[in-house]
Amino acid sequence: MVILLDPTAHLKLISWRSFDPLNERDLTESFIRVDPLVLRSARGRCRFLPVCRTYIAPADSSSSTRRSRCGTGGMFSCLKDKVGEVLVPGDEFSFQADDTISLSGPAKPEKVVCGPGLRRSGDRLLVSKSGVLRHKQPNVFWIDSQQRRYVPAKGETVIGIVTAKSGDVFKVDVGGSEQASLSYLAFEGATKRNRPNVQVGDLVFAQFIIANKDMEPELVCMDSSGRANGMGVFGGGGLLFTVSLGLVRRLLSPHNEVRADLEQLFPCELVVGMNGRVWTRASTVQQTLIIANLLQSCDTMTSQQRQQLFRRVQQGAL
Amino acid sequence: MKDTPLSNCERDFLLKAIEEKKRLDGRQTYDYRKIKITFGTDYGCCFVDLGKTRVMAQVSSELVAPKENRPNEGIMFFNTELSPLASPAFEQGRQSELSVKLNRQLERCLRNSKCIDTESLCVVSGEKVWQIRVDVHMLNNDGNLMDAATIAAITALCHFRRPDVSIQGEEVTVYSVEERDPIPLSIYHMPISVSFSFFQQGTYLLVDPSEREERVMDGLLMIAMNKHREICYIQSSGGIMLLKEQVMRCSKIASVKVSEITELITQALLNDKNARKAGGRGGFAESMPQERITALKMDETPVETTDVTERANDIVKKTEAPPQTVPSPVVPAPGVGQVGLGLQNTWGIEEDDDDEEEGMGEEDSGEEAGGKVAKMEVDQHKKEQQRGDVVEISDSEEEEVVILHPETPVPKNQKGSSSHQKGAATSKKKQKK
Repeated sequence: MVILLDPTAHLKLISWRSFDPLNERDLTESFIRVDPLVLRSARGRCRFLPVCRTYIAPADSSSSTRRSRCGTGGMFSCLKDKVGEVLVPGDEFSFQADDTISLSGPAKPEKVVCGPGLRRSGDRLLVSKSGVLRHKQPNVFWIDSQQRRYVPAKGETVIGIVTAKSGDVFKVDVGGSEQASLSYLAFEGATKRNRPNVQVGDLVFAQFIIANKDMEPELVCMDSSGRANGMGVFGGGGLLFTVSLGLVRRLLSPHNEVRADLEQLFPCELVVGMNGRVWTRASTVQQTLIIANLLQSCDTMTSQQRQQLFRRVQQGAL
Repeated sequence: MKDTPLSNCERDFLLKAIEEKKRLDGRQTYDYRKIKITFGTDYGCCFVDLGKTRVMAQVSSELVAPKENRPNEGIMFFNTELSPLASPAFEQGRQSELSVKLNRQLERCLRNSKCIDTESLCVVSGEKVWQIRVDVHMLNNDGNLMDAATIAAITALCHFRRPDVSIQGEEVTVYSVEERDPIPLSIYHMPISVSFSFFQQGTYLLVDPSEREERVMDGLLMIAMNKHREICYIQSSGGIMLLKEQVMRCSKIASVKVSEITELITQALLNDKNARKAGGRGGFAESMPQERITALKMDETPVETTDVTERANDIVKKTEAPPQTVPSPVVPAPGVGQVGLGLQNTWGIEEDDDDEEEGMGEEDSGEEAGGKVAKMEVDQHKKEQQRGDVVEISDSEEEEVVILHPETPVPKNQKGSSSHQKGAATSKKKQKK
């Protein structure tokens, strides 16, 4: 996906979530630049399944008739109290079933959907990443961490570096634990005779179609209708740098402040991969460097600090 | 694990930027990154931050037999560790080419320049000398490990204190820190290495290359120098041809950089000395105050359960026997009785002690005292019901309605249900333990 940050450029972002319960994968948001017409078809062809893992408030398991009577209290309020606070691995929530036994009235199971950074262990809910607890209505909770290690997830678009050409596949480094494979036929308009021009060391913007913990991840540079849709090999120039995964998600979320601030500075091209790699190109080397350094420093800044810095850059301090 | 490869786009961009005299982090050509020197709690422990590169050096000493050919000289030993902590490209355990190279450079820089007086490390000639061991651990690699390593090693050596020894005849006594103040090593000068990287066959030169610049560079020139402008060691690698003028220029730059860094080291050592004299505690552990309770739930208070049975029995023995009078149950309607509304059961208190859990033993005497009051209330309640002659069956789940058959022994049945009701909260928790 290429976002043109020219202030005149018009762009629209549509989001959806994917969460793979088998891999304990990030609850991530993937975005593509589409107009509403394309979106309808995109929904059909992209295999994003909103799969979530549900946690029911643990009632006393010894008898099935007993159910926690905490209703909207208990687990939910326990988590809700901590929304917006920084939690560290080892923090735990525990929910003890209420002691009173309901003989009348239907037992209402309480459901909480846990995203990345929260995991269940018995009747406890453990925090497994450090970060800020986030909440989304009605009952989704996750930890917003600034981790840098990328774990491939199906459907996510990433920036990869081609490391080897072997037979009919390219090996691509995406920053995960394993290199991904990319078939030379998985480019727009590629046939057995008409091979894409990809050299070792080139950058590709591609999407995962296979990503699970037991198999080698596989990338493609086109969507299911065979169009490039912004993916493919990068042209010359520009600079690649890495930021944290949290910042990448922030950059890609709709109505993002960082991006809005960046748009005020000067026209540039920006490609954001979900694996934390960002490629940027502006008219001069100096401007490209400014963009890269600004984004890298955004990781650890409050919005006020950032706006102050961006204002200074705009006034020509750098 | 393999390192992240460098893409063509990064390489092209870096070279283009260097041609325009720009660097990724906004430095000028001859600028060092920010250097920060900190010390650990122990003597001889030093951390050096060079931008994002981080190196730790730890010096330790040991009494060993000297080498055959140098019977009255101490031994210097250098060891560098490249762990995956520093970079995923470094492997655990095996000595990599880079670590051998770094080790060799460190030895040449610090041992062969004779900056440390090894003869002062001799205790008994030919028998006992001090072996000074310098372990340099790379904690994070963002380029220019060598400069950071030499700064860390020499600072740690300056910071180190070895235990005092005394010789009386044949006997060698090593004094602990409490007995006698430890002694610093005698250091003649501080060699500090400065790295220069060359690009485009030596056309462009950068001081203190970062990790990405190191990958793009054509050649590297390393000059170790002390503040008296004496070159201790010089090495060129990467196979580029350097002109005489280039080397001269580099050595001039190096002399400026070395005097700056030496100044920084002496200042850091002085600060640490003052801090130690003032009695403040330093080091990593002290820098992280533990003021946070990480668990978001309260743990149950542990109750000692080792000799509860004995204590309970003891209490039971000592307390007076409760009055044996059992209030006769009032049956409001034939075949119906009620124990109610969360009141203490007073029927058959004498059996409570065996039936209640052991943990409750201590409370029993108190309960019995209150029992009489409760009993009165129960009776009163019964009378009220009797008057109305109506059996109330509330749908509140807090209450329980028990149907009593006239033949069955009343106290047994009722007591069980009541204790269940009241003790539900407590007994449940106990089961969890």
